[in-house]
Amino acid sequence: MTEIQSSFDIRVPEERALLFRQLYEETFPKVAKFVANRGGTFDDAKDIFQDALVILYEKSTPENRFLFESPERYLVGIAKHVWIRKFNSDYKTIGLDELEKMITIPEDDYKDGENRLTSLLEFAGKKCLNLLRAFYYDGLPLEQIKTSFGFSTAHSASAQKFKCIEKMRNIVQEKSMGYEDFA
Amino acid sequence: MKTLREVKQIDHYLFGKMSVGSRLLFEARLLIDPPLKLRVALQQKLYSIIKRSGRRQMKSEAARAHHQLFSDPAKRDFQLSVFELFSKK
Repeated sequence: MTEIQSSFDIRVPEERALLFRQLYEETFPKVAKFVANRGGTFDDAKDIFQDALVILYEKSTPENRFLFESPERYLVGIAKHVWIRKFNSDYKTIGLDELEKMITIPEDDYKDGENRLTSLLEFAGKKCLNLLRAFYYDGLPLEQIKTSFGFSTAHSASAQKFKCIEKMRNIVQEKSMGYEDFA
Repeated sequence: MKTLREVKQIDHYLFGKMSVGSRLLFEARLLIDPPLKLRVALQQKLYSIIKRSGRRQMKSEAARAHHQLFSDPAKRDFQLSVFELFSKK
């Protein structure tokens, strides 16, 4: 697994697709077994595993040694935490090992109204949102963003980022009123 | 441009990239400038939406991996071994 992990770069979409598939094949049965043993369904396992992959992606920084030492165990650990949160299970009954105890997963700090707003921005501001995701969610290096979005200089990529924030922020303001405050 | 400079400033403020001095100054401005405070709140909301959109996208990539694996006839044994886990009950 370590070899597989290091040969695919999770930040590159094409390689990530291969990595996800590889991890799915090797690790999903373990998570499915964990979920089945606790009375969960196939769909629960699928949902939890996919959330775990998302979290794995978010945690994939070069400094995160767990990711490189044993990505499979790490992914299973994340999945257990997702299960515990989703089904309000008691940590003590799950029996986490030392590595698993060290894992933390991000809060679901979402407000309901944001779902519709997100869809709206994905529709109305696709180009800007794609760029902003690359900066803020994927955390891609400026040089990579410059190349993949076809900017002539890093400076123009960065300037466009701020223009996009302003534009999207205005849409958020315009739509928040209707969707949330008066909903 | 003045607006873009402010957008950048809010960005630095929200991500804790301001020096202590600039931050204190900025926070003082927030107290006396409600429209600025609103713009900060909106920008924060936008960041939260960007994250949410990123997660959606990533989850759909994960779902694609699932779909590929569970619709590939060559992976029949794999599929059955997983289904087996849920068939006991």
